[in-house]
Parts: sequence; structure tokens; C-alpha cells
Amino acid sequence: MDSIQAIKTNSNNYYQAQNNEIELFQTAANNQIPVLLKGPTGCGKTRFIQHMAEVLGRKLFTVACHEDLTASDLIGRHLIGDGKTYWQDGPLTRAVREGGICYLDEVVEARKDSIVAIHPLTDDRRILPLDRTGELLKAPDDFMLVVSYNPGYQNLLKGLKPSTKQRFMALRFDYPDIGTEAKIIARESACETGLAQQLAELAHHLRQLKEHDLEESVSTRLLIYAANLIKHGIDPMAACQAAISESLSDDPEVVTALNLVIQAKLG
Amino acid sequence: MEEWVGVKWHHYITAKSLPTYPDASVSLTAIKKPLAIFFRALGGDKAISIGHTTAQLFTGHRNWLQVIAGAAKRFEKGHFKRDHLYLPEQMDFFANQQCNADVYYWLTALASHNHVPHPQHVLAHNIYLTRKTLQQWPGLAKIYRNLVRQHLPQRPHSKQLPKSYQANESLVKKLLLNPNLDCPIPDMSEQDMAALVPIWLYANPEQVLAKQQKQALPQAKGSQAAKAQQQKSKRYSAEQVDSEEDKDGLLSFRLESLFSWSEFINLDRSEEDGEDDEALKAADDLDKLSIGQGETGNKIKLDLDLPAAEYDDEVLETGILMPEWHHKKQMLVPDYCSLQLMQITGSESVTWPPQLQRQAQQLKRQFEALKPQRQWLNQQVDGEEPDLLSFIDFTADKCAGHSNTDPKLYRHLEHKQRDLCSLILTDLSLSTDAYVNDEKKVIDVIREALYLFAESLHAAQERFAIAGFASRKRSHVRYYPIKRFEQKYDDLIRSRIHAIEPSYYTRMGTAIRYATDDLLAQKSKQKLLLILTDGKPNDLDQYEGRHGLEDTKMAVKEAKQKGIIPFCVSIDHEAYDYLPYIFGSQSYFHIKNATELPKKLPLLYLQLIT
Repeated sequence: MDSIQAIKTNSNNYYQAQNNEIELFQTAANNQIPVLLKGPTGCGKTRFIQHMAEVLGRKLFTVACHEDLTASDLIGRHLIGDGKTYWQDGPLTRAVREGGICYLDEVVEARKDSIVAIHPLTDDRRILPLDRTGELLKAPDDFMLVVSYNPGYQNLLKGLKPSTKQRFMALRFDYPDIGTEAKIIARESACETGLAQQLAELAHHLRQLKEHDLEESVSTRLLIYAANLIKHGIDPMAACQAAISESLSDDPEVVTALNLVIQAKLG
Repeated sequence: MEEWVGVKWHHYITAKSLPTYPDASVSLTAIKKPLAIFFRALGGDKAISIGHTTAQLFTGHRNWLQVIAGAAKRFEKGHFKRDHLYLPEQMDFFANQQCNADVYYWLTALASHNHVPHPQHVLAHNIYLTRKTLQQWPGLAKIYRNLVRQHLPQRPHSKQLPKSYQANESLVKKLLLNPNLDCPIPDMSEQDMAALVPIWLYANPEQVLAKQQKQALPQAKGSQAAKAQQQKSKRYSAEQVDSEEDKDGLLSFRLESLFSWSEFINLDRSEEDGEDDEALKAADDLDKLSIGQGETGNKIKLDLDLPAAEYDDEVLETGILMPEWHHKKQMLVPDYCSLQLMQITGSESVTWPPQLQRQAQQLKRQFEALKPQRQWLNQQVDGEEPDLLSFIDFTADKCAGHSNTDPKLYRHLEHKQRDLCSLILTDLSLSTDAYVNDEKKVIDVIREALYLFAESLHAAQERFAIAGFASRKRSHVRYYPIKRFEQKYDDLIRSRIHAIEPSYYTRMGTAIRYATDDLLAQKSKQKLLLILTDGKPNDLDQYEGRHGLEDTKMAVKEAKQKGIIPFCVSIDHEAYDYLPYIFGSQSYFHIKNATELPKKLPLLYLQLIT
């Protein structure tokens, strides 16, 4: 019956802090302040929240938002069974009932009218009214609402309503500096530190192309993919070409240029 | 026969004196785009475009063969000048095509540090750049070693050289082989070199020329000149590329279609739009002019005078003050430009060419499909059909004992309006007076494009406006609201489109700001600003060059922040150099063949909004 499971967080989720985000998040969690995480693709938002759930010892309910996500998908609905109906809690309702962190990933993708459902949870009332069952849930102290979005995608169609945005404390994430990123790559892929350093430096350079030649810049995640491929015996050039250049652009000339930059770095 | 012998001799002697391999030649245009991305990825200044040089005088040693052949006098040298990195147009130094392409990439990598070599320290600075590049980009070491290995045999043998060059030459060879060699590096300018090194960057030839002439006629007139001198040497030693430098100088003057004149008209415009803080810079340029010519050249005023009022377009409103972004001060200067609204007077009856009308008909049919369409809306209180999913939910709720008194169980077919308005802003500057082929000028192409575009959007019942702009310095920016949003598209508008004429320059930022305000007044949720242009932003004053680029970039950024989608369509073949900088990678489209603009513009619009 219970199709939604709280994610059993990996017992040793590695997260490399860039700033004071851990301290800020912990304080927010202890004081029932909802949090908004913003930052580019693959910079570690999801990893951060997994890590924090583990540190705080709370369950994590993740919802990947999409444009067809309705309020019922978050809150729950009645299902028809054998001559009876069952009420099925949505992830948000479960988090409120059981306590834990409800994480709405890429919240701007969700329909604006469904997002309104979280409003009563984000002010001092901290309640969740369930119209269909007639319940009024009061969130326990260890319930926490976290949403994330990527400001880079922001355009006319996809933006967070200011009335929603103002209900959260916001943490900005960005790609780490070269040293930190090298450490992350080395740790995640267990590759040599020299290679990790090279990849981090390469990424630093490629990120300068953002908005000018590339829509999105290379993420830490892609670098880890590349490092993994190389570690498992793929030629470094081929690995980077597959994991970095080809995934960043479809324009053959841009890909050529990216390959040249990679070659200049890795040799 | 004599001629034949002459040609053969020429070929023989030039081949003898200058090793070139035309078969393995690589042209800059072929690899310009990846090269530009490479440059930026390695850290090159994003505002710098890559261009190709004309051959420059090589001032170093030439051997007797080269003297006889008249060769080696001019070389294409990689160098920075203002907002361009200049590289040779063709690269044919090496027998292998890959090597020639590698030279381009190597030069670009050297240039990506944004340092320009000092004319007196060509060797030291290039060795410094080489070391830095090799250290940062170890993958280039292989390419570098290969290029050096192939280049060394091409260099003159020390024994064949005059004594004065021998020491320098052996040092150059040693350092090329091992750039990390720890040895004192003497001052070495281009004149002291036995032969050009193709894999090095050189000083800005203007600087070199100015320096040589200054040495020839030393002059220090008054404190002003001395100060300017001091300032200049400071800039030299700073090494950093200062693209602002010489912005108002002789060669930067460009009158769009009259470009070729600028090289020999002795003209100085630096004072004309001068502000107080530009005075020193103007003095600097004057000083340089007097050095260049020996004595100050005559000033020719080459403004395009405004026509008498009765011949000019109708003025609707004047004195609308607009701000401009000053990138050196990093601030928005309020009320800097004065914009006036003008209207084109179209003739009574206008006939469009039958072929164009046919094209319009075709497009109309295509665009009619875009007309607001009917769409099913779910979960309605009332409607034509039951909504099955809602009904299941409702039934389930009811079985569970919870009944909803206001069920929304129907689907309803409704007209769906696109909540979008578009403003097309077109460049009407003098550059559009140029011919694109034997029959048509750019302005004709734009005129046809506007016509087809308007007909298509009209057929699709879109909400749109058309405007044009031109400028003559900051005090006179013209904005033509050819069709306003609330106006009906009719013969009056068609006649105005027919009557557009090129005039003046392209102060794009101001026009974008005004168009932004116009769009903001519209109620639609989505607002598209489509900019149609044939070249870079420019004007008679400092708007030429980087200032104009930065101002336009800022105007576009402001528009984006206000929720407008700016999109640029350009027919300039150099568009790739600067449009990404202004609009970002996803917000521009370059039409290679200008004559295709009328056909492509409506289709591009279709692509953008659906």
C-alpha cells in the first residue's frame, strides 16, 4: 500500500561544505524555518539535502516536480479498492504526519496552483488542511520543508512567484572553487588527485563560456562521470569528450572547440 | 616570354626566400568559431573579437635573397589592437595542415592571458607567455614542441647573419627549444630579430610606429604633452591589454559604408563628443596624430547634416531623455541621450512586387494555423463532456464518505489566447544602404522582411508592433513607431513599411531601452523584442567599439530583467564575433545569406513562439 518510501539515506553520504551552509541549515531546521536551495545543475543541492537529513537524523521525502504535478499528488487522494476506498497520503502529508524533511526538487517546474498547497505549512501556523478527509494536520517540530530551483533556467514561463519565494530562507549554491572541486571529484570517483585537479581546472575554464557560448556550464556531476570513466580504463580524451563536450552542446563547432580545450588541459 | 620568365623568377625567388606551403594552408575564417570559443574558454576577454590582419611591415633582419625578392618585408603578425585579436588570414608556414591549424590555436592560447607584448620586450614577453601557457595547459606542450621543431630549420643560420644579429638569434633558438631556460633575457624589439617567429604575439603595430617616429622626432611640447607621454608609458608597462586605448584615434573612425576612406583622410574626431574627463585622452590622441603626420592634419567635418525640416520625416515628439551605460565608469548615466519619435510619411498607393505578394499569401495560410485555437480544459463546473478522471476522484471521495458539494466534473472546449505581444525593432542606419547583390540593397531586404512578417502576424491575429531606429550621436536618436500595438494593420502601415529609408547610425542601446518601455506598457504576460540588424552598434561618437557593445549589452540585460525576451536576428557576417556577447548564446540568430531574411524571419518567429 505504501508506495512512497522515505529514502533510506546512505549511511555515509559525503558532502564537502563550501561555506557556512551546514550551520545555517541546521539552525533553520531547529527553528522550523523553511529553506530554499538555489543553484545551477549538478552543483550538489540534492547531495546536500541528503547529507543534512542524515546529520539531523530525519527522514527525507523527495518529490521531483513536473508540470503535471497537482495538489493531490502532493497531499494525497482516495483510491478505489474492492468495494471500499482508501485514502492514500501524498509525500507532503506523510512528511507532516511522520515528521521529516519534505524536499520539492526543481519546484519551478510544478504548476503554480499546486504549489499554493504548501503555503499554510510555511508560515507560523504550520498546518496542512486536508479538504477531502476533513483533517487538519499540525506539523511536528521535526517537519521541515525544503524546495530547490535553478535560477539559470529562469524565464517568463518558469519563475517562482514572489509570494512563494518570500516564505523561505534561501541558500545559494554554486560550483566549488578548484581545490574543493578537485577534492570532491577525487573522493566521489576515487581517482588520482592529479587527474581530479586537472578536471577541476578544466571545469573552471569551461565555466567562463556560460551564457556566451554555452547555455549551461559543466557540472561537478559531469566531472565525476568523466573521472569514473577514466578510472575504469577509458582514454582520458574520449572520456571527457563523451562526458563533457558532447553533453554540453549539440553544435559540432562548439564541441570541436571544447575538445581542443580539453586536449590542451589533459594532453 | 619575358613575362613568363618574370613570373617564374618571382615564384622561384619568393619560394626560396620565404618558405610557404600553399597546399597545406589553413584559413582563419574556416576555424574562427571554434577558435573564438577556445580563446574564451582559456580565459580570453569575452569582449574581444578575432579578426585577421593585413600584412605588417617586418622591421627585423632580411637576408639578401629576401631583399632581392622583396619578400619578408611584410608579414602577418598576431597582435591585439583595441577590441580585436588579429591573426594571420592564411597560415601556410608549415608543410602540414594540422601544424598550420595548431599555430592558430597556439597563438590564441598565448593571447588568452590578455597580455600584449611591449614593443621593446618582444622576446621576454613571449617567453613569459609561453611559460605561463605551458604551465597552465600542459596538453599544449606537444603541439608547441612540434611547432618549434618544424620552425627551427626555417630560421636563418647564425653564420649567414650579420654579427649584430648572431647573439640574438642563438638566444631566440635556445629559448624556443627550452622556454624554461634560466638565463637573463635582454631587451629585444622586432628590429633586433633575425627573422619572425610565427608562434609569437607582437606589439600593436600602431604603438610600434608611434614609438619609432617619436624616437625620430623627439618632441615634448608643454606640460600637457609630457603628461600624455607619461601616461602612455605607464600604460605600456602595465602590459594588460587596454582596449579603451586610442578609442577616438584616427583609425577607429568608421563611417560604415565609407570605411575605406578612413585610412587616408586626415581626420580627428576625438574632440567632438568629448566630455571633460575625456580631454586628456583627446590630448593624448592629438599628440599621437602630430607624431604620426609630423604636423597636425586638417580637420574635416564629415557629419551627415540633418535635412531641412520640410524634407525630413514628420516629428511626433522630441526631447525624450534616455540613459546610457558607461562601462568605464560602470554606471548608468541618466538622461544621456535624447530620443525623438518620428513618423515616416508613406505614399498613398503602394504596390508590392507580385512575387512577394505570392509569398505573403503562402505565409498567411501557414500562419492562419496559429490563430487562437480551441482547446479542452479539464475540471470545469460545466462543459460539453464529462471529465472522467475528475469523476473517478469524485466517486472515490463519495464512497469514502466525503462528498464534495461543488464537483468540477466536465471538460470544456475553449478558445485559447496566446498571451504574447511582439515588437520588431529594425535598424535603419546608413549601413543598410549597402548592396547585398546586384539588384537589392540591405534596406530592400529589410523592407520585404517587414512586409512578410507583418502580413503573417496579421493573419495569425498576433498582437505586434513595428519600429525602426537610427541615430546621429547621443543628442539625436530617431525612433519610428511604424506600427503601434493598438494600431490596426492596414494600407497606411503597409505604405510606411514601403517608405523606410536608411539614415545615420546605430545607437542600439537607446532604441532597445525605448522599445522595452513600450513593451512594458503592454498587458500581455509574455513580451518578445525582436531586433533586426545588419551590423554592430555604432555611432559617430564613442559609441563605436566597446562602449556601444557594453551599452547594448546592458540594455538587453535590463530588458531581460524586466521580463522581456530579447532576440536578435542579424545578417552581418561577423555577427558571431559580438552577438553572443550582447545577447547570450541562445538569443540570437544569424542569417548567412541576407536575401533569405524575408523568407526566414516569419518562420523563425514561428519557431520562437511555438
